[in-house]
Order: sequence, then C-alpha cells, then structure tokens
Amino acid sequence: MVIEIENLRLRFPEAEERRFDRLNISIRQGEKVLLLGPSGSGKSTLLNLLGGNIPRSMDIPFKADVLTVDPKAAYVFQDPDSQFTMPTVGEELAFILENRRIPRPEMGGMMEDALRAVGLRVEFTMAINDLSGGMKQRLAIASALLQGADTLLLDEPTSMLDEAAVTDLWGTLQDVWHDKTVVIVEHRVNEIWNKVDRVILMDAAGQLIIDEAPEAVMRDHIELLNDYGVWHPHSWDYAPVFETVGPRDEAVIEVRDMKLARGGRTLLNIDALNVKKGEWLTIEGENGTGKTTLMLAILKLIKSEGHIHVNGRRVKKTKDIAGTVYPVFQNPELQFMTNKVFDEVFINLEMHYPRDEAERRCAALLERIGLRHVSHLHPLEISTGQKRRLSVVTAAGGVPEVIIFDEPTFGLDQKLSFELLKMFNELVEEGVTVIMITHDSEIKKRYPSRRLIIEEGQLKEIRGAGHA
Amino acid sequence: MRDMLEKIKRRSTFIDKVNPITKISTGLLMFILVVLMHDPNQLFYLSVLMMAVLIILSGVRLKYLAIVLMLFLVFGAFSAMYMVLYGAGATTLFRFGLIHITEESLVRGVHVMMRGLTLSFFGSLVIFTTRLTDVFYSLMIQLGLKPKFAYSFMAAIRMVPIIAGEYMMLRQTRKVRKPLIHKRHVSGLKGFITTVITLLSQSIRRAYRLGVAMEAKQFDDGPRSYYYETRFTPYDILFLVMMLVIVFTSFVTGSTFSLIGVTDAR
Repeated sequence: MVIEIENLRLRFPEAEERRFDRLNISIRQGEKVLLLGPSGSGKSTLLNLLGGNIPRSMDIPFKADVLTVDPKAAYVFQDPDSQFTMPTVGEELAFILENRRIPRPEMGGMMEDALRAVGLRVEFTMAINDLSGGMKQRLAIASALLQGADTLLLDEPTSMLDEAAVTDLWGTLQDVWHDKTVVIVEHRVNEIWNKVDRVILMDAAGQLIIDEAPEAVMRDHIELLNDYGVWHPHSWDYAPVFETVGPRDEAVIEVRDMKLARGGRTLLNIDALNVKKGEWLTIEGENGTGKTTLMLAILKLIKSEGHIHVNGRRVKKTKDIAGTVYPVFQNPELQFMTNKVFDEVFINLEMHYPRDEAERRCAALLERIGLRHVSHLHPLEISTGQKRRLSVVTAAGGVPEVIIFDEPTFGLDQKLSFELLKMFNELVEEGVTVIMITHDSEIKKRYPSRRLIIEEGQLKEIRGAGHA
Repeated sequence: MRDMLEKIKRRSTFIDKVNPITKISTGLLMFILVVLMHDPNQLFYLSVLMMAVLIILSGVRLKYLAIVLMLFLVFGAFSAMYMVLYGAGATTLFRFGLIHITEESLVRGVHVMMRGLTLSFFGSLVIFTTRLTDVFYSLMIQLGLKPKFAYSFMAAIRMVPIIAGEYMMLRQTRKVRKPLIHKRHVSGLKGFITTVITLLSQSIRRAYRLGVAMEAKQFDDGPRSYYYETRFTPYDILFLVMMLVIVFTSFVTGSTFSLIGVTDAR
C-alpha cells in the first residue's frame, strides 16, 4: 500500500462538524483511482492530505490511527495561473530541478525529455502567460514528471479547458502514468472512466459511499451517482428535456458590418447578425477565435466597427443597453460589489421599489434561484455554482431581455449544471433571449434553438444539427 | 519580463553578461558621484558620454531608444525650468513679471538637468541589459539572499499582468452594473473599497494556492542548485574599467575644454 489511511478525523478550525469522521481509504502502488463527490464533499481536502499538503502547507487539525501518505507526490491543480512560480517555461521546469538540487549541466536534457513526454513543443524562453490553458496544464504535468514522484494527484486538471484540450490532456497523462499511483478528482469523467481501476464516491459528509471498479459502478450505482449529482458517462441520458419554444418574431439585437480587431489583426467580421426574442443561441468556436471578444463588443465594452441596434435603437455606449442586455462573465467574482449576497440583489431593486417592497422582492428572487439560505454570506464565500446563479440576478430590476453567458457550466457538477439549464429554459419560456458561449458538445447538441460558430474570422450558422 | 526585453533588443552586448550586482552597485556609486559633482563642465561631458554608452551598448532598437531619450530630455528640461525661471541670482539675463532668469539660476537649472540625465541614462542601460530573474539569482548566489524571498518576488512579478487583466475585467463588469444601481455603491470611497477588496481577495487566494503548489514541488529554504549560475566574470572588470575611464575622461575634458565659464554650480 502506498496510501493507507485509517480512522481519519479532520475538522476545519471554524467548522462545527467534522469534515471527515472515521474515514478509511487505501490505495495500492500503481493504482489509478477516480474520486467523485458533490461540491463540498471534501475531495480536494482529501487530495491535499494524500500528498502531504496538509499539514505541510495547510494548518488543519486532524487525527488518524494509520496515516501512510506520499509527501513527495506531485500535484496538478485546477487553476493553471496559481501553480507556476517562474515567468518562462524553462525557468519553471528548472525550479523543480533546483529544488531537487540537480546540477545545472544535467538540467537541460531532463527538461527537454519532460517536454517531449507531454508533447509540448515550445522554447524554454516562452513566457508561461502566453501559453493556452491546455498547454499550461501539460507544463504542469511535465513539472510533475520532473519531480520524479511516484504518486500523481490531479485536482480537476481539465476544468478550465475546452473539449479538444481535455482529450489531449488525458492522452498525455495516460502516456506517462503507467508506473505511477494516480488519484484523480474530476468532474468531466467521460474520457477517463474506463481507464481507471477504481471509482470512489464520497458523500457530503465525507463518507465513502461507493468503492468499486468503474464497470461495476456503471452497472449497479447509476441512481446513486445521479442522487449525489456527480457526472458519469451516461449523465446526459438523465439531462432535463425541454419542449422547444420557438423564438418569437421580434428582433432584439441586430448587428451590421461589425469588424473586430485585436492587436492590429482582424479577428472577426460579421456582415449581419439578428437575434430574436426568446432565442436560445450558442456561440461556438475554438479557443482564441474571439467568442468573448464578440460578447464584449455587443455590450460596447470594447471598440468595434459597425452598428448595433437593440430593440430598434442604435447602441453607442454600454449605458444605452444596461439592464436590457446583460453579461455573466466566466469569473463571476468580479461582478460582485457588496458585502452580502442579499445586498447584491437589493441594490438593484431599491432603485425601483420602496424599501419594504424591495426587500420582499429580493428575498423572493433569492428563494427562486436557491440562494435564500446563503443570503447573509459574503458573495465571495459561496460556491462556484452559487456565484454563477447570483451573478445572473445581479442583472435584476426585473430580468433583462438578453443574457449572455460566458461558459456558464465550466467546473460545475451534474446537479448544478442541470439546474442551470433548467433556469435557462425558464428564462427562454418567459421570452428572455439566452446567448451562451460554450464548449460543451452535449449542451450544444441538445438545447439551443440556433447555433453559431466562429470559423476563419467569420460568424457562421450551423444548420441541420437538430435537437436530441 | 524576459520576452518583453527581447522584443525591444536589437543585439546583445557585453553589458548583458555583466553581473547584475556589479551594475547595481556601480549605479549607487554613480549616484553619489553625480550628487557630489559641482562643475557643470565635467557633468556635461559625463552625461554626453553616458548617453553614448546607452546608445551603443544597450543593444536596444534605435526606435525605442529615440523614444526613451526624447522622454528623458523633455522631463529633464521641465525639471530644469523650475530652477531656471524662478531661481535667485545676481546677474539678471531676463525678467518678465514673476519670471526672473539669472545667470546663476540658468547654470544651476542646467546642472540639475544633467544630473538627472546622467543617472537616467545609466539606469536605462542597466534596465535594458538585465533580466529581472538574473537579479534575483545573483542576489541569491553572490549575496546569499534566502531563496524564500527571491522566489516569492519572482512569483509576485508573474502575478502582475494577471492582476492587471483582472482589474480591466472588473472595470468592465462595473460598467455593466453601474447604470442599474445607485451611484453611491460605485463611486467614491465605497466603490474604491469594494474594488480593492475584490482584487485583494482574488490575489490572496491565488497567492495561497501558489504557496501550496510551491511547497508541493518540494521547494524549501535550504540549499539548492541554480538554473542560472550567475558569477563574476572578466566582463565585470571590463565594465568597471569602462566606467572609470568615462568618469576620468569627463573630469579631464571638463577642466580642459570648459564650455561654461562657471566651475561651481552651487
């Protein structure tokens, strides 16, 4: 056994209840384990314990009768921007070797080998900030290889990547992981389900509910996985199905002759784009083709050539369409500006209603999006899924006519993703236009009434893909 | 940092290979020297020579150099103006209302300007020929700075563009929300505080995660090997000799070929 934990009890200093109460887990040398669980079930905490981050870097009190972990384990974390120390690729890889006191003359060859192993073809002098998300994660794997660790701990390594990059990344990992013990915490499991030896499901109380081979889990426990709201390879069979609500005839947004440039280079040309009331639109396209830029341009947050009309009126400034067309950014944290979830919505409503009425409506709105119970918390304290829902209602005064979402389901578990989809459908039924920038092929296939894709600097319509 | 520098470089010169510590300590000595120099003639030659060194040995593309030099000259001229226009002195050259130019104030103003220029030229030479990572490596290797501090600084520098990008996004989100809410939530102290809190909390969270990641990569404050093995080389001596020659030359020429009939600007 490389990893053996018996009777683990752990409590966060400020929490009332124990995060783990009598947890037992053991993992054999070379085993590949997939760790599932709803948001907040302590998967990351467990991973931090397995590699010795607790207690090395995190001061969290715990006790265990047996605690065999691998303090030399290598991690790949979810956020590429907070796992690199140095500015360039070469310096970052060297950082690991410096820590291991490898003499300088041996470094170059080892670094080249590591980059080759993960299929990353870049110069050592390349700035890490200029790499794409997928390349950054491959660099993280290269770093893990250089660390010479026997154990690899992956904490949602693909949650910020698009689909093509996800496939690449798992391929890369499989190439390098054969003799290593691997523990994976991950939402997007389709690609790896059949490549792991064991699937473990944890519940919200930090107990292990399932601990079996992946095939057995699929055969016997799908209901349980659905109940806990975690993704599994057949998740989409249980996805909500909506009656198609056709868009109405009135046009909400009309774009003419738009030209978007970035860094002096033309990124996107749009001759004409009409968005109708009640449409559910997806905008697709590879990374870097300008999807988010298009969103910012429609909102007049960046400069662009051409005309934009909303409800027949020419838009010159962001102010002209504030509250009518509303963006939900990928990073909802940046959209909040008060100290309480309640206030976040209240400051919008206080403009329209007397105080009592505003408070009543605010509470009702929070109830509707399932945030009533956290309304006293700071907006930065709530979970990612909650933040995203909250950022939708920061548009409220009523509800805006058009909402543009930038990757709304990134990093969410099955339950939250489906809830969000239901919310989108409700919006569409009410006549709100929903525009989604998304990479998720299942969502693209199932829900939109119309699909747009950015290819070769043009915005095109995908026809005939149909609904599921 | 490094790629930024590479974009504006035309070629590399021997100054790139001089140890950052040598350059920085020479800079300190230059500062003391320039402050103690009172003969405008000598300072004039020193600033001209430093400008020549900057142009020839920085290796930066002439286009960028021209912009930098223009900026320095404009700012230098402005700083001199205060001294020139309102300074006290016995020999009046020009008088108009509040403006009173005397020979003494003119000389003093120009002297102050040349001091600033000399140091700016030297400073830019150092900046254009030194990578920030090299500074930290030589501080660790030559001066025994704790790796803990050096790597924290380097990591922090990597964060700067990320935080800047986050700030730009924050401004965009504010622009969207602003028309919907009372302006007291956005403007003034309250708006400032929420902006700072949001940015800080994001940064603190990122810094914490990075700290965990660094320790997981087995980083500690103990002995380590180095990717950049900065050391003192003959280039350091060459650099020091060059600087000595420049200073010596400006002293000699300044005393021999005086352009201004004043030898003490005080």
